[in-house]
Amino acid sequence: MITAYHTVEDRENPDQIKLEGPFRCEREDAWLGYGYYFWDTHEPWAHDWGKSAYRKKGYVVCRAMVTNNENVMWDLYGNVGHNQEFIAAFETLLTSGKYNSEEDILTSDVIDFLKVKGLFNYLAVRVGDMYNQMKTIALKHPDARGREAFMNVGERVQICLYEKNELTLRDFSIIFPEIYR
Amino acid sequence: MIIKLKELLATMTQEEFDRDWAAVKAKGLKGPTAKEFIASFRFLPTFQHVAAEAFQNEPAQIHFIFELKSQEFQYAMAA
Repeated sequence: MITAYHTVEDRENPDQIKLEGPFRCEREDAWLGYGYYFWDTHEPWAHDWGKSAYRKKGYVVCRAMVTNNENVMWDLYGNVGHNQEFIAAFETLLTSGKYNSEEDILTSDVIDFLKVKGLFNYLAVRVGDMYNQMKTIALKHPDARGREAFMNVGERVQICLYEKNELTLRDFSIIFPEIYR
Repeated sequence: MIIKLKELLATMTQEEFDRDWAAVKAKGLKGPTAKEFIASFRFLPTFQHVAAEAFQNEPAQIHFIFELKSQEFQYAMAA
């Protein structure tokens, strides 16, 4: 299981959050599709998001344990096989001859089409969130063939659960602000 | 999943596909394109020229070569 953090607006309703959370995101910028969004492991990402997204009313951060089972979680951040599967799904859609729009296919379109056709095998997805403050650093030593090597640092990781149940989630609780614990 | 997707796309009619695709787009979601997302698996603007060279002899890893647009990718979430 992965420790993950879920940020919500502070509507002075801690009891409801404890009882009904996490809450399903159905905003138009839900870039992985409708689902229950979490930050992976690093609590400050949840606070940063709360500060920028809920400036007026403030925010609440909840913690939970979420699945990292590879049969349940489509891990597009840490599983090369799952990366390849996403690429293959996109290529298959694009080259099928059926998709004839000029419009680019969105990340969420690939996932939602698989869901619509009953082919999506997972209950969650894990991704690097393409954060604009991500850094790339050059490593000190080149590899054996003399090429420079690089490492990404500071990439935020998100988890989106498409279903909340005992397979995907447990121990959901409020951790911030302290008075809501 | 991919084998089933290929079979399904090969056998479904254009009308069926268009109907299903319309259902997908009906949500009106916004976000990065699949190409941009795939690029983020291994290419970053700061070393893209190096990556392109390094990966050119590894066909299994080359599916798409495209430019990452220099815009702010800042998709996150809220309940």
